[in-house]
Amino acid sequence: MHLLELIDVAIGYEAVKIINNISLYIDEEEIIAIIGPNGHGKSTLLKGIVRLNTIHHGKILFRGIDISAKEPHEVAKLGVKYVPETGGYFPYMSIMENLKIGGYHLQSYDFKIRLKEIEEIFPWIKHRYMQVANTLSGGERKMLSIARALISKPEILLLDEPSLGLAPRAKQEIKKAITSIINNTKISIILTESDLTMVKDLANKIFLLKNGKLKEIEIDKISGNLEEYLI
Amino acid sequence: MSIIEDMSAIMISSFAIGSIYALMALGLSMLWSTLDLINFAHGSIMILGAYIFVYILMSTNNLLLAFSAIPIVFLFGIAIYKMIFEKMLKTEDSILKNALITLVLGAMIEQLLNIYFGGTYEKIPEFIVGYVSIGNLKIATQYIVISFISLGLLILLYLFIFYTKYGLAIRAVGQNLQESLLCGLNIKNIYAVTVGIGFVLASIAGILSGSIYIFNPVSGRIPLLISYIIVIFGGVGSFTGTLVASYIIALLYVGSSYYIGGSWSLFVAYLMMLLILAIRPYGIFGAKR
Repeated sequence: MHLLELIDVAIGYEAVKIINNISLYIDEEEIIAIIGPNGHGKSTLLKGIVRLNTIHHGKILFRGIDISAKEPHEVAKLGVKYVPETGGYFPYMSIMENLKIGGYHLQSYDFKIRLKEIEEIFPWIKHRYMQVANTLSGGERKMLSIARALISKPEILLLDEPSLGLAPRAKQEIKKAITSIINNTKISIILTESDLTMVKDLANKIFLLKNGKLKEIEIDKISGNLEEYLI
Repeated sequence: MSIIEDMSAIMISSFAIGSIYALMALGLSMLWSTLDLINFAHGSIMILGAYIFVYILMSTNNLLLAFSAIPIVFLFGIAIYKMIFEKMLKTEDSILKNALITLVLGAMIEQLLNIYFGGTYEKIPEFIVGYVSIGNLKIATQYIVISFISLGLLILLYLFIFYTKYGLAIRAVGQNLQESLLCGLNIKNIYAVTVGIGFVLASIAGILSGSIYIFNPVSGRIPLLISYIIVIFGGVGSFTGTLVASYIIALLYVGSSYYIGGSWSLFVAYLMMLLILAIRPYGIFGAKR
């Protein structure tokens, strides 16, 4: 049994299918990257997994449980956490309040333990708990959104374009944080990303999502520039 | 009476009335900011709470038991949410549809109260009868009791919203629905409880004001309008703004009634609302929505 498995899934909005007949699985401690041109359904796929988009047909199994008809909050509570490409935090709440909402279902004792783990991955955060989220820089906001998802100790993290719109230095910090998550937790990650250097450095498997079709690219056989996959 | 005594009387009345307005308006503001529910039934819910209180009091002659009107209204709020609002949440034009539904709901409650109790005025007996004298100034003990009860409830409400896990969840849902879902919050339960709390705040305002003023089934209409003025003045979803606006509007209302006549007090409040809408439409403490 895979940790998460998509079987012949079509995802889109109420009236429109964006991607068709996708099958994919991820096992424990795997890091999967999905690349592809903009507008070909990478975010749609991740949003579909957490039920923010409509599943037209097919099954999504998490530890063998069909989550394709569950409510988004139920999927999140099961341990599948999505970090959107924009947002991912409550702008008018402090960092601590954001983390408390992220760890809403944790007992107070567990929350404190998780907070220590978050501080190890994002050391800057512990000195700024009372800072309101919308006063953070772009990179810090992105890190907060990842921390908010991570604090509940999910089994799978779905990271949607984590480096999108960030300056090179902030990108490096995000990459460092994701590397730290991979090294320090046993979490599985599905990552969509346009920075292909980051993809090559982080992922165990790379898939190309183009024209609604998903195809694995063997990392060993990749030579030269990955940019051709984004066209 | 001297000017100082006049001012003291106005301040004390304004504080008691402002605290009642604050309870009412905070309920309205919570529903508006969390569910996008513009509740035109809020005034009727206020009076419904007062009538249930009177009914239990008359039936049992037990003041403490009469306060069970509050949990009854809470459950009524949850039932109304489950039966009506929940189904409307994801539909097109849900804000407008829900607003119209609350308008009809308010009219239905008024009508039912009219059928059952008749249009005659009712009054909740004063919790403590008597006066407190400060110099020549005599203050009804009831005003002081109501001020303390309201203030206590406002503090409890503040602590609930800003220092409890559930209050944090209500604020989160009010800020962003999708983000709340991603954090695993059960939106429907939070909405249901928020409607229950909103209704409870209105009903408490009804019970407290019903112990000062006589009321009939339509007596919630003017408090509803005043609550809207307060929420717009203070800023939708702003606790501090709503609180400050409640006392300012109460002061204007009582002051204008005292100095230029009771028939002017509502006019002054409406004028205030128009000015705020023209100058700062999102209120003194509100953020642009």
